[in-house]
Amino acid sequence: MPQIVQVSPTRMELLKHKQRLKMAHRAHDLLEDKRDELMQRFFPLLKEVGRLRKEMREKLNQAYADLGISKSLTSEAEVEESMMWPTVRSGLDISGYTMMKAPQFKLIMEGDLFCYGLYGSNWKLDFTLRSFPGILRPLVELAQREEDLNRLAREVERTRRRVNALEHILIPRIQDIVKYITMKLEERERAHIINLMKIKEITGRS
Amino acid sequence: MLKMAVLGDKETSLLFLSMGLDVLICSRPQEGGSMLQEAFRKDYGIIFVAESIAQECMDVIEGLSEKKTFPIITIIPDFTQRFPRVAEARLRSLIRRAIGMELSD
Repeated sequence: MPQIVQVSPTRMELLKHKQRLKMAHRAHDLLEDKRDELMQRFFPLLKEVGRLRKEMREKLNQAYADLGISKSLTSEAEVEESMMWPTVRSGLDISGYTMMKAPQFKLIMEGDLFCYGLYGSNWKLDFTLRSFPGILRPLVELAQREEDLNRLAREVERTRRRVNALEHILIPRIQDIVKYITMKLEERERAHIINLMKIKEITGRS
Repeated sequence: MLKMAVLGDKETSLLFLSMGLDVLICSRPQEGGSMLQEAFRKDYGIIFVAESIAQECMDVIEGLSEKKTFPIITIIPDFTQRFPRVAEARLRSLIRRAIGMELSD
């Protein structure tokens, strides 16, 4: 698409824009490499998140089912009462950051899981509570992997847009400017030659 | 030490309450967005949101997680299991945005 070019057609400008074009090509190549590398990291992470989510869904559904059964063995109110006052405290420590600056957590569980007496509880409830560390750990793992994937996806999107902007907007624009200046300079040169020829003709006649 | 919180209905929350997490019980999914915004101001490391709540406030989740890096929001399956695949749909839209096309499982 032709565009209005607002540059003075001088050799100085030509050199400047040629330099810019070289730089833009270099930036394009670098960003393209970055995009490819990010993509290569994106897919394995995506696969892992999918696996973790599936695993977690199964475990959590099993825990919900166990809880449902334990509610049916005694009464719902009694089970709720037993679980209402936990003696365990769960928290997170940040152990580091990943490549995309997503935090990496370390799960801390303090205290006793069994927060109820023998009265009003049942064996299925014990069973459910015992499976908790096995649920919480993959859940935290999933959360941090998902966050990592989220950030990676945003970075891929940003890089892709930059590559496209360079490829389809900036580079063609600079190429147009270079072409415009080259043509103007050639035109000027031709006019100059014709002027010289005319002067020679006039001086030759007299 | 950072804490974790769960935003969900009573049944889902009960399970996490006994794991020692903070619990935010949301009986009406419509209120989930405002509760989540409130929880975001506190010092949590991860907020787990039940699928039934997440279904109603997906825009709030996306907005908050783009604006701030902490806490992390993760969608978890519900006790009722009435709205499956909300998290998977979020993942799919993420892939579409990142690579510009849909991926089959």
